Amino acid sequence: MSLREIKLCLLGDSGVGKSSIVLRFVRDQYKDHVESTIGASFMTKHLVVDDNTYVFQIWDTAGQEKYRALAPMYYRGASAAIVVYDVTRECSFPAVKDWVRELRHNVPGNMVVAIAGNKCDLTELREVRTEDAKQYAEDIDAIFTETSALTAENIKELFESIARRLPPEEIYRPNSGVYNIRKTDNPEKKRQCCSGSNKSS
Amino acid sequence: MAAGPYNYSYIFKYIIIGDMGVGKSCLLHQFTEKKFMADCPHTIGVEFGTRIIEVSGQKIKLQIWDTAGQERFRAVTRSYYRGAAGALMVYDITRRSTYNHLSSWLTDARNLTNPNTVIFLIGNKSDLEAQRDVTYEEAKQFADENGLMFLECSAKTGDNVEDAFLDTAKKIYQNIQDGSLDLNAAESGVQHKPATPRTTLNTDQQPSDKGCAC
Amino acid sequence: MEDESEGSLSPSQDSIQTPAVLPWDRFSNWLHCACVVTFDLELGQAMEIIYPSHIRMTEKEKMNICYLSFPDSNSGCMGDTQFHFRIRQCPGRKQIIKSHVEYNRECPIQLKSDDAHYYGFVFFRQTKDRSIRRGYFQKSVVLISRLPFVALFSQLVSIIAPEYFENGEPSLEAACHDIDQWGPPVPGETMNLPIFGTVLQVRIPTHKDKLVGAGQTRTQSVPTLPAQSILPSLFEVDIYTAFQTILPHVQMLWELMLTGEPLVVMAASPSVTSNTVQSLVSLISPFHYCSDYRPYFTIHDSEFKEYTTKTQAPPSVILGVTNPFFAKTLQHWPHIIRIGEMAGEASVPKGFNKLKKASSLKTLDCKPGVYTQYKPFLMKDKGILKRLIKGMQTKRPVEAQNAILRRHFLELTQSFMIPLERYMASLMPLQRNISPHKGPPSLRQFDVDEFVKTLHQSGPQLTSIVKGEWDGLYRKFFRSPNFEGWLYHRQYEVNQKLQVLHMEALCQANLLDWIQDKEEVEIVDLVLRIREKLKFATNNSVAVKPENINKLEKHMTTIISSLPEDLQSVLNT
Repeated sequence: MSLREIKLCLLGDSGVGKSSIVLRFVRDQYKDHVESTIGASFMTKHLVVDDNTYVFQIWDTAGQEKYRALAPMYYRGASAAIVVYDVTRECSFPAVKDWVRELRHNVPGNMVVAIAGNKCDLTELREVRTEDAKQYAEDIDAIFTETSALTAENIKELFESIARRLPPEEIYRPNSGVYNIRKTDNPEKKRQCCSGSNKSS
Repeated sequence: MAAGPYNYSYIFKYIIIGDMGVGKSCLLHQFTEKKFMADCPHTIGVEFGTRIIEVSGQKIKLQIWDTAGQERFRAVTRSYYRGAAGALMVYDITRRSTYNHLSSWLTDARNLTNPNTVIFLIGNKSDLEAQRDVTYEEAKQFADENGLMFLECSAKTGDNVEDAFLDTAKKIYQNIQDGSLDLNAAESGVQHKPATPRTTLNTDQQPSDKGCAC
Repeated sequence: MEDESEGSLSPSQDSIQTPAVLPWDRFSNWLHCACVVTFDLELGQAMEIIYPSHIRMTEKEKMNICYLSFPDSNSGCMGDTQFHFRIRQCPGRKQIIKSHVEYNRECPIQLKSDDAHYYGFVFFRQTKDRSIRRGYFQKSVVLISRLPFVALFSQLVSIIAPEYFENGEPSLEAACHDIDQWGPPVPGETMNLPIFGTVLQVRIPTHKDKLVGAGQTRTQSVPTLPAQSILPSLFEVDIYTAFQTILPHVQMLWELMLTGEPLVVMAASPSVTSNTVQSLVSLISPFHYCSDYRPYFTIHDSEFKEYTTKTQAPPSVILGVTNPFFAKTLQHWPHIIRIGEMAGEASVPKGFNKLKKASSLKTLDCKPGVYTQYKPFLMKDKGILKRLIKGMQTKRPVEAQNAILRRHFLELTQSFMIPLERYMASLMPLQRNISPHKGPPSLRQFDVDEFVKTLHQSGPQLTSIVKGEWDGLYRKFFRSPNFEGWLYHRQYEVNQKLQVLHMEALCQANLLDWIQDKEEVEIVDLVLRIREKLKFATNNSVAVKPENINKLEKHMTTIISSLPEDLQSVLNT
């Protein structure tokens, strides 16, 4: 049984529901009107996955353009990032690609990336097709899920998948090289099967 | 003299009487806190203030009862007046009606207190000269005719407030000294009759181990 | 992690909404505001931003902050410079920070929230910039606080300022917002303070801590995340670096600080002056340094005239200055410290041990050293010096040198303090003299001569190897503001304690028996006295056992019910 502290960062356009996802995960609450985040919000949450306890240090960043340049401070040194878009707004999806590009460029290889399409409960307003987003996530070897902060659908599962995807602790090397985004036969990539590995300190 | 259970030699009970709004609570506050309460809510029931003063080398604790001036609170009247050594009767120099009601207040005071209770007349709000409605002279005359001590005071500026409370105490103390106030008459511990006011803590009378943390 | 409540790391927040916390409430538990000061070609130094925007400061406060946020002499300070200053708050109606009231009760006395001064923590950047008219970029980010958390706030401004210079106002906004999520400082707790993607972890000391000021060594374990940064201390400064060039004289400086002598520190940079002045103040820990001190002081300061006047003796203050003008202005001051650069890392500089005469100080280009004619009361402890010099030669880490130095002076100060505490204890009234119906007894007056007599038997020689005229030192101390401050504080504490004991005596007395033969007016007096005691207990909410409060309340109810009915209704409002 191990305890791991995980720095995790949420990125994405303004209004896609990053803060709502966090609120649902951390406090199991939902608010209709959440104020636009200034800078970033910080919260922590314990989660037990396969007998391991994870303590997520969650940095929920502001989506507004004026805070864009601050993002590196919040994702620097993070073990995982969730890039969020709104399934009912096609225009929120290109930002996902921009973020992924930025992460791959600036952040060492082991960071676990998850793509989350939020507001999936609004079936009639959907603009982004699940298959398209899923394909993109596979291409870049990221976790993919559609969530609803409102109904709580897939929120906990999202964090659980991230926890399972985390590399075992001794492999975590902050200064390793740039992550290879293309699908290759690189055997190193296959270590995603290390779910629930029990490397206690 | 303070070898008794307290570190003061006497407790004098004062009551402050007069119409609503003449400034009774403000006078009390000015005397005990040396501050003027600008926003003063109406007194409900009875409020208390205390202060230890010195008269002729003796420490005296003043226990001051302040009541609302309204008629309906007169239910507590008896207990209020009972045992009072001094009564400060207050009117507002800018409101004639409060002066006119003095006879009524004085009648109550005379009926419900001991004949030796010192009654002191206070004309409050002396700082509002421009709005004066009662002259010093006529009030002085009323006081003299009724055997009352008299001062115009201002709870706001503090003018004469100390003197009013202190002069009353001096008079009470004087009455004790020249025997017109019989302290021993209270001995039977009557709480229902208008008892002789104040009490003393003559050391001889108190069993010394009562209440002492020895 | 410790058992924090889930959710935010601030203990005050939990899953239930707490509507009582307004925006900026939490921010103001730590900081008064954040400012940006810039150099305007027409106005000179000017306040560019104050954040949060609702914070109001007087013109005088703003002006002082502006002048103190820039180094005096621009030439020396290319790149980034960090330092701190201290200014007077203007009198007037001030917002009372509720958490500070509670904090002040439990914190060590040197760390109290100051209600008469502000501390300013500056990050100044000066670079060549052709795009700007004068060719130079000059700006400062300043954090203003009533709390003397020097280490924390210096670290904080060093995190915030570079981001601000890169990304402008949104970073300042984000930083202040991060701080607005912090829980209030609680003595005894280890705080987790998220800022800009990192979490600062620091413990707030309490006055009960045995070794406040001894300094904590850095923890050996490396945090698992780069996102966590453990600060060894909230407030400790690098005293070893501050005193490196004047080590042989530090014990004498300790005497000067203890006795509230005026002192001026001259150096080329405000970083050096502020670190040195703060180090001097911390030398006499756990005493609270009660006089004014200005880690960085300029000719534009509103107290310039007051402190540099030649018509009166120099005031009991410590000034840190960089402007050469002060060398002349303060020439008449009895103790001057000139801090220069160290010649070489591992070597001991020439003239290290010599004290210099004040008259030879002409301009700021003089040799570093201490200029004074003061004769110390105590003989120099050579052991500590040897140890530190050896450390210099063997390249012992700065943290270790700091720990040694701090501990040494803490023990010296404690040796000085112990006889005072012992004497204080002897002034306490006897338990048996606490009688419930008289007021609480008071402390006997502090008698200087009586105290000095006790030194022979139970003076500092019992706990310190330092020899000398301790009683002379005490007498000088008694004439200083530090003694006044200490005495006032201790008397206050003792009187609080006496109130509590008095209350307990009242609880234990058999009041029902006692009232049997009392006049009505005496019984009313007793009820009023009990009420006052209960009010004291509520207002002070400390050290009064709840069971005693209940007992008193019960007493009061019983006593009132023994009175005639009309009186009961009067007393029961």
